[in-house]
Amino acid sequence: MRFAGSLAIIMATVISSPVIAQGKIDPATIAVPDVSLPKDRAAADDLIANGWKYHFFHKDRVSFETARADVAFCHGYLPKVQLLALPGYSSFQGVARKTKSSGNQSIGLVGAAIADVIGGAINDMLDRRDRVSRMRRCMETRGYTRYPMAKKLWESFDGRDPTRDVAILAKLASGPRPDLPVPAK
Amino acid sequence: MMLRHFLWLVVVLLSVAAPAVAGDRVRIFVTLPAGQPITIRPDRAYILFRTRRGAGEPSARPVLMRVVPAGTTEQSRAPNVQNVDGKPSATGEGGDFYLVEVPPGDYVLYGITNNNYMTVCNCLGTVGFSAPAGRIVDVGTYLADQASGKSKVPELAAESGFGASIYGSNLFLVATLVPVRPDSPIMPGVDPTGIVTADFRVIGTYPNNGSFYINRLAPIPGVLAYGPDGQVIDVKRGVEVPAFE
Repeated sequence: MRFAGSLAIIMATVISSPVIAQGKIDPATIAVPDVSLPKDRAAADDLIANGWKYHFFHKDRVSFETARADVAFCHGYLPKVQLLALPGYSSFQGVARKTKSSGNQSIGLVGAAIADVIGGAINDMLDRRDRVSRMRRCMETRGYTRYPMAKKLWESFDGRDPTRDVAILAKLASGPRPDLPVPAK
Repeated sequence: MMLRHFLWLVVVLLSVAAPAVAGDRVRIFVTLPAGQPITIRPDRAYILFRTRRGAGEPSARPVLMRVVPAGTTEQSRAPNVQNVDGKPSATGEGGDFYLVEVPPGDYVLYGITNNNYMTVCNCLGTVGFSAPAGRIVDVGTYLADQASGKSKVPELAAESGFGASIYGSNLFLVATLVPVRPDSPIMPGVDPTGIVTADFRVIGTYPNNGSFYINRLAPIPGVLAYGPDGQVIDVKRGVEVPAFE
């Protein structure tokens, strides 16, 4: 069947794990930040109240290596990509890991300039929601559960050092189940 | 939230106004208009799907991708992704019919949108099918809805209702297909002998190319399922489908 043939060719390019999770890491070498409930009542209340905005993921009985592959896979969806105007061109391979290009051929240079400005504003404003929605959908479908994390700590996983981000979040994900409430919303 | 909607409106209006700036954006998939005789061209394929009246979000349409045939150079980059747009080709008792004229090839339910940008990709699992030349391929009933709130569409309920942490946009959508059944209504004006039922293939996870949101097609009994660790499962073939990278 022709469809099966073309799929087979595409699948031949499959890479087993993302670059940011390649190579072995001894989890004992990774220092994880304190994610326990603060002793200060107000700080604890604030942490819990904002857990729906700022959180990390955990799964029972998952190995560090599996968690690392999962976190790395899901972080692969976080880079900003230019919105695909329709009709447009796409393929299955590698597109999310390309950096955002300037200009949008399908709506012309003037339109592209305006769209870039607006798109940039939306992206900047919606950083948290974008990240939360993509990470939730990706990690929760892999069986992970959210737990509240302090805003400043959450913001430190900003993608500037993806290897560090993935390693720490994978260690948290595969460590003891946090003694924290799951966000209600 | 209002600002977000406003900015999106500007983006959408910009896309509508774009031809004046950038020339015509040729539609590559054309929904055949209602009330006209249906002519099946031998050099075109036809994708037929239904909607269920009163179910979900009618403005949420499938974004189809024609799989680029092997050996095609990336440089060509001819458009191969488009939303199904336009008015229904026919209306029946239970809902509407859309008959979409497309180049023959292999197609994937690539994403969902309610405007002229791909707002949601089905990056975490979806299905594809072949659309042969000169034939109508019947993909069944397309169901789509908002995903932030709990959907009242039974097939989408378990894959929606993500609440406040995702809410803030009417662009986060979820969809699925209900394959053709023997009692599925036939589109008026179509020769049933020219219709083939879609033979779905399951498509594994793939990178996001230009969507705000990532999602997956809701499970299709007997066709598409998901494992507890996110595995995308081809039910008919009993295999886990690998990811595209």
